[in-house]
Amino acid sequence: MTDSPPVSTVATADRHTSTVCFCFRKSLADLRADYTTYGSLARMQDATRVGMQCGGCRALLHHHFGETPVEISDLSHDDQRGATVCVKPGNRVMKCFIASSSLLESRAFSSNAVPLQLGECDSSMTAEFTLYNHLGKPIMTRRQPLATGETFSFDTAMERLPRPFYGMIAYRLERKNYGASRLNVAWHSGDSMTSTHENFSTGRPDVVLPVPVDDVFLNGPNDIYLAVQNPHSKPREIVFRLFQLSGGNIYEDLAPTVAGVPPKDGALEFRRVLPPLGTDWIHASREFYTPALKLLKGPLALRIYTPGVDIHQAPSTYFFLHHREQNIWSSNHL
Amino acid sequence: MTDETAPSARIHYGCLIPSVADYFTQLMIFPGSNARKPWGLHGAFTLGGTVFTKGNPETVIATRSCTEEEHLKLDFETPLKALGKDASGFGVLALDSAGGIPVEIYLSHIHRKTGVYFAYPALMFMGDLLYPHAHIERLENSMFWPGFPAWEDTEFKLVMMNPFDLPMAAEITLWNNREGKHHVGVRRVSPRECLWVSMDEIMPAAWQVQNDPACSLGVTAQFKLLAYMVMINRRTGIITSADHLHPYQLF
Repeated sequence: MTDSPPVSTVATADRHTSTVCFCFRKSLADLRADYTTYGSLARMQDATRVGMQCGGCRALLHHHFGETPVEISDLSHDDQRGATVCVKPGNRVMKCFIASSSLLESRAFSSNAVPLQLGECDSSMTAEFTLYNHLGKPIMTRRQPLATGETFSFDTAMERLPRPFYGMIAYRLERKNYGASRLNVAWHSGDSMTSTHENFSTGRPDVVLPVPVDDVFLNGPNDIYLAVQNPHSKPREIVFRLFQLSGGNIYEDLAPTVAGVPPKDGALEFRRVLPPLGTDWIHASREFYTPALKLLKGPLALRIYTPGVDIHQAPSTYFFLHHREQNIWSSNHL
Repeated sequence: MTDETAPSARIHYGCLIPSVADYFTQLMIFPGSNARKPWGLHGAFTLGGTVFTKGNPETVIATRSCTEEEHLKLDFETPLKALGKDASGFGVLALDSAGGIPVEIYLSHIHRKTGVYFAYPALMFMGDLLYPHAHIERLENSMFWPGFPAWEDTEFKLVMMNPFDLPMAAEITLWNNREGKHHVGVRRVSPRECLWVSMDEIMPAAWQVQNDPACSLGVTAQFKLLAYMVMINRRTGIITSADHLHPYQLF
């Protein structure tokens, strides 16, 4: 490795050593060997999970093996889908955090456009969405036709929701053709807007919020909020571990602690249980960082994890930064 | 250039570098969070990068290394400040890793005057390898963005990055529920440049008057497209969010 990483130079290639699935680090040579072992792309995916994480290599898998990869969210036989189920290959269910409160209103969008290369292709379909409250109880379900090129939208400010409302929108599309299929949610404060998207119906078992927080940060203009949601039909416990960036225990089991005494590990944990399809809105600055910084010297980072689960069982996390003075919100998913 | 002798586990990522005068850039990774089955349990990670402005490599972000038990932090501030001038463009990060553990990379940019903070994931791409069949026939070159809400207080800007040595052309299309499809036309992105396109500029005036958020955008380029939608608060001019465009559903 040099100090100056090479930048890209164009070459047309189908090289055996090139990585195809970055998530599971599989080269084309690896995949061809696996394919020989398992006999089909579907069985290879079942065994290796290739193409099942971010989905970015699905086109390449199809290109190289001539078979349709298993859909990330095509879990037709999985009973952990909740009230909104995916019943046909190619259909999708997408679940994203949604809020309606004095802090934020939410607007969800999904495009039903067709890529230009496909010409005048018909992508008309019926879309269905369900709102779940923080306890995972469905409080609203609607179906509506969506024409080719139409943009689906849903605005919490236009609905009579119990406020404050923190929950999840599950959006199912029922299309038999190529087309756009993601759900963005924009959170609006009245002064500013921030937006990101769902992670289909999956979660992330183990992530770190890469925002270093110390007393200066905590006393500064930004607050950190977390929205954690359980897109699955079984309850999940989430562990929030705050650890010192300098020498804190990130991954090993923590030694028992004594209340009020700084932990030897340079880390401490908080736990929450999410009911099936449930959601939790957490003012992390107040609930996690403030008590942690009384015992631990900052800066601290935050690991969010659920032991022993994969993406089809794990909760998902959105993080929000609120600049109080400017009333500006920023967000993204982890 | 990546060739047969280079390690197969080199991965490239594209990221934004907003005005150095206005924003502080921060990057930390914790690769151990993915150190489990079916991935590897033990790994080594080396990350560095190059910042491009106006098509030229402006400065190098020094590489740092860690294992799965540690974390890694890149220093953007020292080399960017050493330029002695304002700079903005995009970054190409190169991650070399051993051990089969996937890594997610998030960047944060902090507005220097106010402390407003936005964070987003870097966009993975395959370095110098182009797969023409996949990029074109399988639509890896086409992406979309649904919805333009809060138009009155937020300006949306499409940012297209071209990390390749070839010029890129991208065709932009807009859809509106009432007005139908609108072809914006082709925008060119020079080699190793990024292009910011404001929706204020390309959205038909009548659509803006309607202030209808139910619009979507599509972009089609010749090859792998790295693109973000950046949201800017009109009152302050501060970036509030950046998120990537989406690929289409293929199957």
